[in-house]
Amino acid sequence: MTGTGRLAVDDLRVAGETELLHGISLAVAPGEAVGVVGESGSGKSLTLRAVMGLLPRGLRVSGGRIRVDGTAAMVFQDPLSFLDPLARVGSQVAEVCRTVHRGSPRASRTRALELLESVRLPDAAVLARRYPHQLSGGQRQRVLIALALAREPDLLLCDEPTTALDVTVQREVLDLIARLRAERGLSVLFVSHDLAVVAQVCERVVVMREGRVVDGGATVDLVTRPTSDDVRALVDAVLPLPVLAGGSDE
Amino acid sequence: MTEVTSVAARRPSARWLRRARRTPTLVAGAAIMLAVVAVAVFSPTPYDPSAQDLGNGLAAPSLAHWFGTDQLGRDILSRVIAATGTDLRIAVLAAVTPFLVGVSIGLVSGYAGGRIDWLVGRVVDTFVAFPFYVLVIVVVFAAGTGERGIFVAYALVGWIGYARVIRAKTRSLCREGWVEAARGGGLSHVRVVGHHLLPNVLAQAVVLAMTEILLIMVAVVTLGYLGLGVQPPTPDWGTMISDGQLFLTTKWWVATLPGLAVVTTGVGLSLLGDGLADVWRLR
Amino acid sequence: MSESTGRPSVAEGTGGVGVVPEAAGAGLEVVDASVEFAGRRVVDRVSFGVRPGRILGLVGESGSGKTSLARAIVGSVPLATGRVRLGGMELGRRRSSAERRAVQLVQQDPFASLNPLLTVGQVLDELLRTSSSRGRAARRERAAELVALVDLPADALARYPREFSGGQRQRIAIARALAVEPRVLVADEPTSSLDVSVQRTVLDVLAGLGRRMRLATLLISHDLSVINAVCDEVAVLRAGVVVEHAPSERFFRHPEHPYSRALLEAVPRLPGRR
Repeated sequence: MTGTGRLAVDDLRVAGETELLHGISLAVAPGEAVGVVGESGSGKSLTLRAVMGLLPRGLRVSGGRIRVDGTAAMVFQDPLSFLDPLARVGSQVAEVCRTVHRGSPRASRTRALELLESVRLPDAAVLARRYPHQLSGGQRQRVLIALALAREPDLLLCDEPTTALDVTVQREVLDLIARLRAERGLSVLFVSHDLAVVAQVCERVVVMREGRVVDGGATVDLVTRPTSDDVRALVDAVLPLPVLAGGSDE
Repeated sequence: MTEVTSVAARRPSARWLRRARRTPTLVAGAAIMLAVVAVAVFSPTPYDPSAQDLGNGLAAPSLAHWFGTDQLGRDILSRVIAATGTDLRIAVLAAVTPFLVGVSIGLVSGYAGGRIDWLVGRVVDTFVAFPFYVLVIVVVFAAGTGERGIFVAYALVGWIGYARVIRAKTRSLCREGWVEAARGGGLSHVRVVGHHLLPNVLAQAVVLAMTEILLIMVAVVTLGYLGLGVQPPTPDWGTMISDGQLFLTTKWWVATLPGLAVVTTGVGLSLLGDGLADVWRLR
Repeated sequence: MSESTGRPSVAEGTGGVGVVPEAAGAGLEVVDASVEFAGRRVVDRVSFGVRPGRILGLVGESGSGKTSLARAIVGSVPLATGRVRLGGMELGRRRSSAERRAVQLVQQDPFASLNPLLTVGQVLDELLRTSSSRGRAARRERAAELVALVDLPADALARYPREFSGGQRQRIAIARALAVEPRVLVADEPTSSLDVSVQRTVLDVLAGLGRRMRLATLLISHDLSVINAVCDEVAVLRAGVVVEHAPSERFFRHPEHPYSRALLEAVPRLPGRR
């Protein structure tokens, strides 16, 4: 399946009292997954927020263009603060389904359950009746992804979606995003401070530092033949692990 | 190897002053309270506040008597100024004991937790359940009217507010790692509470103290109005308002102008408290 | 870079592989330890030992009981069963000031672990004053040594915590732990609140000093690449039970327990890198 979601950011500038993003340009082609990597303070999350129109108070887009083709939906680092604590997670997903499809309450509930199953929420029928605080971190992140999918997005924007998760859960969420790309042709923009995580999802990477894009290219090329100090630093930051003997690992 | 070393270290006091000057509530509150305190300390009374002039009773405000005179011909401005010293002094002094007691109980209760905390919680609940003024009036009756009654009453009930706020603050601080680290570093409980927790809750306590002084001042005035507070002939805003209300419809200045003094001081304290809370980022 | 194991060359100090074994009972011993929380057993009869100058990595995911175990070892929560021994001596629930100083904790969140109102110098000086009989000048000198040990500039002493980044704060926390001359260092997820870019610096400092000062170090993490970077041995904690305990060289190539293997396979790796 090929997607239609497309993102073009051209010379984006964001300013508060001083300028924080100094002309960011990046593009996501239909069906493509692009990673944005950088340390905290590099402006990577700010770029994502500008794309979604969710800039923190006091900041504004002061220049450049953002063009989104198709519907965009966002997945955040901390799911708990983006879920309504007083509503069951199933009905939160159903509510979004209803505003998108304008179907009957019953059809929306069925659709919500399908979505929760598609993000491999275990025992979806049971967990849909729970409140956010009754779920584990990984389960909450799946609900948040289901919530994003309920909007039938063409473009998925991910802001460090696995940083707060255990490694095994992180692996499952990363696999889920990869699977959704394959099945739905989703375009993905994935922001993280960890190059290794980004490399699991994205074939192309943009490197940011201090509000600027400083490097970019195909993930494999960047990792195996880093051309700049910025990329080398990111590669070096990933702590190595020995290859497993007789492993089933790739 | 070191990733950053930010701009030159700025002492917190310098930073504080810079932020304070940019906080209008604090500047306004401090200005009003500075003026009120100056009046209280220097007491620039144009006349003797208790000198009677029965031939010139209930005179309207004039150039000679800016605030007019009361039923005994005493200069109201002089009495308002003299009362500033009385009422402010009582309010501040009465606030000291509850501050010390309340902050200590709050710190110990929040830090120790367990049975001590439970006990403090029950005592606080019990006090909170009583209507405040009923409690104060009962104590004033028991301990005697005047300053002494007010001091005893506030020492008994005034600590509750501090204890509640400081206990909650201490409990949340104890969940931060540095309290555990200080204890783990071999420091005694007294040291952890006195040197680490106390400075971190002090700002909150001082802000609360501004509100408490205001409440006590209003209570002193109220007790004076009820005849249970400062006794004549010592000038006091409450007694003055009480005396003046007989003539409220015809000779408005007798009660209104002392009332204005209460309002001005109240606004000043409240702005000061709010301003401090803003500067210390307590909200 | 030691190619054979893929371990970075960091912090391979005096306590590396092949050192003469210490006498039994030296270092930290955890024997049959259980911890209960709200009536539920979160750590169940765990035993292990860490010799001076060695680093044991304890890996576990959330809910494995790793933080409860760390807190029991430093004495801030009680043990339901078992013992914690240091140099053969049992550390009880109520510990003396000296016993508390002997086992130091480096916490996960560097933004909550430093008193915001005290400068780095003030914090270190206070601890040095209670833990040693040094005079004023000697304390100042030692404080300067401590910040130098964790690779911070000397002017750090006069500064407040908020002026430092997360990685720098974590190194300050390490300096603070070392100030009281501990024998055991327990680091609970010391890098998981940090950017990957500063993770290695903090690990280098932690492990390098642990070996140099011959501390028994317990490094707790959910991330096996962190453990691999510095640890001599690995213990895997799952639902309160140690399911595998092996030397690093063996563990990272030939994990025995399926859960260990699942953890290893879950770690994101860079494509095309060995």
